[in-house]
Amino acid sequence: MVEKRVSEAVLARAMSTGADYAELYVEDNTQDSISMIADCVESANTSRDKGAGVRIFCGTNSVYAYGNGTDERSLLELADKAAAAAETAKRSNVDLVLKNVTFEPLCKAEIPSFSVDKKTKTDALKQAYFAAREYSADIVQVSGSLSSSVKRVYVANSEGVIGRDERPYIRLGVYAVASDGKENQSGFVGPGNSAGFEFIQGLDLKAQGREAARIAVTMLHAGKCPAGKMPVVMDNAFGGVVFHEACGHALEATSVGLGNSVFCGKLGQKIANEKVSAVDDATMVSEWGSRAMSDEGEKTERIQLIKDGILTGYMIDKLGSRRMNMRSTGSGRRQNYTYAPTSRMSNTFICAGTDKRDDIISSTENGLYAAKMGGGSVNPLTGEFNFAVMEGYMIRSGKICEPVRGATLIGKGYEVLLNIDMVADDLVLGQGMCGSVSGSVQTNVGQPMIRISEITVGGEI
Amino acid sequence: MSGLKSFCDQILDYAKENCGGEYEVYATNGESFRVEVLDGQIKTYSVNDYTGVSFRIKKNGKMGYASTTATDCEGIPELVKAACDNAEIIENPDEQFIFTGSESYPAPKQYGEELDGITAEEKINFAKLLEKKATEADERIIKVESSTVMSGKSTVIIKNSNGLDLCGKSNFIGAYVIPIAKEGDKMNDGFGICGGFDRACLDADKAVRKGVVEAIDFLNAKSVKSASMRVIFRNSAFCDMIETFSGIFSSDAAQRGLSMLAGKEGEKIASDCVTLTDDATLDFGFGSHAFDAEGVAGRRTVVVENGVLKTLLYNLKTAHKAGVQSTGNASKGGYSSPVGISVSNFTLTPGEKTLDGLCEKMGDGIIITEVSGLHAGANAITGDFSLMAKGYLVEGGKQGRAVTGVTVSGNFYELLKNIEEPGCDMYHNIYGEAISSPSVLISAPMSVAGE
Repeated sequence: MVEKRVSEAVLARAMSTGADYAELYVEDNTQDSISMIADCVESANTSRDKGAGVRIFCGTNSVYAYGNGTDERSLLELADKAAAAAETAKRSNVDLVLKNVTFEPLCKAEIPSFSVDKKTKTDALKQAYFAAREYSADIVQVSGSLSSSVKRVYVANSEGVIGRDERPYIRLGVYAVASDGKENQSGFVGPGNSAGFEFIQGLDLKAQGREAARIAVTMLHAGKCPAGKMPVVMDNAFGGVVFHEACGHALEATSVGLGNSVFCGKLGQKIANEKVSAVDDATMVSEWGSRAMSDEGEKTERIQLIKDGILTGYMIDKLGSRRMNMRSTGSGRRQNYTYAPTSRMSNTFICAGTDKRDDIISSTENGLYAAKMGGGSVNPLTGEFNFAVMEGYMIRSGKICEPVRGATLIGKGYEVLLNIDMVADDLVLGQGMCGSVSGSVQTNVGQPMIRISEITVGGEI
Repeated sequence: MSGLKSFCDQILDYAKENCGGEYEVYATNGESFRVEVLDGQIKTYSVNDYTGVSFRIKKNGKMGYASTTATDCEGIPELVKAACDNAEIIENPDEQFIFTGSESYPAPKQYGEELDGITAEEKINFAKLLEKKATEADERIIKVESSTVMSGKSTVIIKNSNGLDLCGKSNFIGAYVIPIAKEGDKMNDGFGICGGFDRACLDADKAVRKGVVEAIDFLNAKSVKSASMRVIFRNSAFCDMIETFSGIFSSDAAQRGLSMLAGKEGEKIASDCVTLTDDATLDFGFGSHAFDAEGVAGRRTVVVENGVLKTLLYNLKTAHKAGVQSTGNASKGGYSSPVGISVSNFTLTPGEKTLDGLCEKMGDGIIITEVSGLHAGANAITGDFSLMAKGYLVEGGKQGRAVTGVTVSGNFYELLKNIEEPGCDMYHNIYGEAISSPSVLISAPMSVAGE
């Protein structure tokens, strides 16, 4: 995407005012989306977003300049802007020789999504869409989308690396609304992968559509969730959002490196029940959160975050590495060139345990079964989090009973980790988009079914 | 900018020669600046120039879109072809419009000339000042997590085959501070913000005061026993509630069955004291515009008057479908997004009482000062919400201890009907949507879940 000679000149220029690290990031992203609502194709959009960013470090201070131009003159201008903002009195002549590093792609599109005609994509979307629409007379509206993209990334940095990565993404979304004329309820499914159109071909599209509709209809006929403290059994897959919010964000160098996390200085200490082990693994083949190369030109890793309840690792980017005096784990990510990278999660999940699903339910006298979770947020400083339960049921006398709606779970991450007292053996991942200081990125959450012995449930008094 | 205009012309020329139908270019460019300070030094600094161009074409009555940030001539055929291909698969039968222009356009002030004179160094120094003032404000403030100044300016151009040729520009500056307080082993953060269109809006003391009070007051905040309680939403928290649910006033949502306000125009949907106005023509409103994303003139629209829904908000497509005029509320999430609908400057008309006055009237209950988890715990279609909240207990009409770790739940449609009295203390959102609201006292008790 950029000549080696140009990258060398840009990095040298960026470091000319005393910076001790410089990085050039260039990206060319083409996206295509088709969306349906009211039983017809509503919109179709194609966009190409091309841009570049130059980042420099002076110790732990960082400067980032970015723009849409990717020609030699524009890149040198970015380097000049970054250099001009460095707060050093030094002048330095930097001589760099860069070397190409090959990152073996983890995610390949066997059927590149842009090679598939729009009619074929539309037909696939319609299968899922109409399966939701026809699920029940209670379904009054459905919206659906099929989006795909291919992002080509180029990174050159003053450590001598030139790296390239190509990242295909594809995702289906079906959102169903059920109504009885007085109230509405909704359900959503959104399977995605870092792959090509073969991922869509491999899905049972009708089953996906029916699942979104089933959740909406179930919740329409549900009563309101009672409020108070109670045991909560959280199912696998997207249930892992609890770990993502309650713990994952507080293990990113973004918060740990600045001393703003409850998990600062706790390496080697017990932070969770001994049944809990967790990892962040960007190296899984063709997973939603995977990539071969970090957005800082490093090889990605599988990071053991928690082992048998003991804190064993953080997710660290280059700047975090400087702040924490620890090695980078290749966790630097960004939505696109308009953001400087920072430490982010990839595929982050609680590992499979040894308990059985049936035992977890039957040993819970009374509580809430959160079958499907919605989204949530967290304050890494205090560890306070909240998230919505999309599909919930009451557990009475060890049995899953009537559905309930409107439940939210609130608590503190470090308390919840200690309160996870059962972990099943059925790990499944679920796809989401995670928003943080470097934008919105593809992340997998995941877990087996777990039980939290006690957590505050918000709902009807 | 002349470069962008000529790129737009090149696209229109290419489309004229190679395609039939009506077509339009929507282009934006601008620059942004952001500096974050930590311990008196620059922590992060970013500067940016951007350009984005969206092309849309109406073929056989269907509208196809494509966009690009690469403003080189070689990309034009690809851009136009992508839009044409996209138009081919559209099935929506609604009539689409490439606008010919409004009779006249308002000229709200949106560009603070004074901001052009504020140098990067001044912005850096202001971020340092915010950090210093916050740190010195109270001995319990142990550090500042972020002290940030942001500024930007942008130009929007709309030009089409029906002779429309519009150009508008706007700018802004804003700053925020997040102080961290510590007492014993308890830590808590607060958030203070200021911003606008001139130097005077950079009010460090105001931002620091709010951030520091929030950080300190909630250090020792505790939950409450779950109960059904009287509630006051403080102004900024109610702005967040209105922002989350502002989509219910969109005619597009209503026509799709995604808003419960469908078919309710002319009906009572809120209590008598509720008047909501959307006004794109305000000078220096964050949501002001002379023309909307379709080129329709911005205007002032009374949406709810004394509790009665007077109108929903329309763009050309939804207005045509409903047999009314567009209210000039067409919007785009970004230059590449299709045209949708959003509020401009959306205001809940204030009443007479101060926040203290509302507390006195309430007697016992809770003031909600902050709600979080709005993207997850609030359902814009059903109106249901269940949100993590912070605030203060009110006992005997007086503000009492701080409360955290509770969720407040209810339904926004019900909430509109249960607004007993708006206060006089207006708060203006300065990021996200341009919502303004006073504090409001709610008549019916709400579910507050705690211990």
